[in-house]
Amino acid sequence: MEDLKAAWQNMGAGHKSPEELKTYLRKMPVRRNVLFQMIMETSLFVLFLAFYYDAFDGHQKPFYLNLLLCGAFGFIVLHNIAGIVQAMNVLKGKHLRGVLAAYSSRLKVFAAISVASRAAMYICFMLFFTYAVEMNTFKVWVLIGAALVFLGQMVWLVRIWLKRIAVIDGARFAGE
Amino acid sequence: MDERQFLQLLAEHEGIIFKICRLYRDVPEDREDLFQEIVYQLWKSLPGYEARSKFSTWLYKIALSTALVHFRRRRPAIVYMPALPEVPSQAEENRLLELLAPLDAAEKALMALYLEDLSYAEIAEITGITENNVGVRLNRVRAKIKKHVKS
Repeated sequence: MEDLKAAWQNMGAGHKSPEELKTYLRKMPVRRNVLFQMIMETSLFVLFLAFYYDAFDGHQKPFYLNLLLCGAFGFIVLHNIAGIVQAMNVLKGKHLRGVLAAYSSRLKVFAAISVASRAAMYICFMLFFTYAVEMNTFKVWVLIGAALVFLGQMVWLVRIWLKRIAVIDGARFAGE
Repeated sequence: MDERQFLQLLAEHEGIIFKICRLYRDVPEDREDLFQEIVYQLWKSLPGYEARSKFSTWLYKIALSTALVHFRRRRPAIVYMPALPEVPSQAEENRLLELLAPLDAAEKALMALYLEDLSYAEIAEITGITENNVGVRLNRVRAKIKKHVKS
């Protein structure tokens, strides 16, 4: 163990210039990809909301379906914004155990809302586009195909969140 | 503490951050990401720093927390080298990281603090577990490393 200690303490560390360190204080280059992905998705949803009414005959559908669709998409946009804000938050807790416990709870709530809102969006989407449509065999198959795609996306989303939560819970100094 | 003082302290302790990045991330790009994330978290958390505790203790807490919650994006790259022209110190470092690789994230945090020569009391303060538990867990981790060496 003493050898390991010596190796650790002699480990060659890199060096950052004061200017580099200073730039890290304010901008968050690390999460640029995540932010970009969220901003892209949010922008697409906002665009959809702006044009769906004319493009997909919103005026021919009942008001409650328009409301449901806008509500579901709008909620995801708000949830994404909440995610961006949360990503910029400071980690809270007196010690590692506290930080991880708080982070894990927040992540579970965020994941549950994320999955539920996505499911709600798919359901509203299907309700809107199938309203007053006369079904035939072909359309039923298209509907089944779309439902399977949505289901696949939901399974994928749930798996991603479970994996993230497992990583945090696995590092929580359990047993104390 | 103002920005200039913070940057000065950060420059004095940046070695700790580099080592944590090496311990938790396999790829240089991931290490750089984590380094920046840690510095950002340290700066944002600075108002919560109480000067009565050591700056390094506080830095360990924030840096390790960030390493544990920050998701890794890239898979380790496999690089095939035509030869292994390693200088001895590099080989020693790689051997150390190889020995620590089988540990889980929490065990790595404990070992980093132990290898840094912190007392059990300091490790307990940073991790939030009791001193007794620190001892028990470190024994388990040491046994795991020994088993890994033998295998």
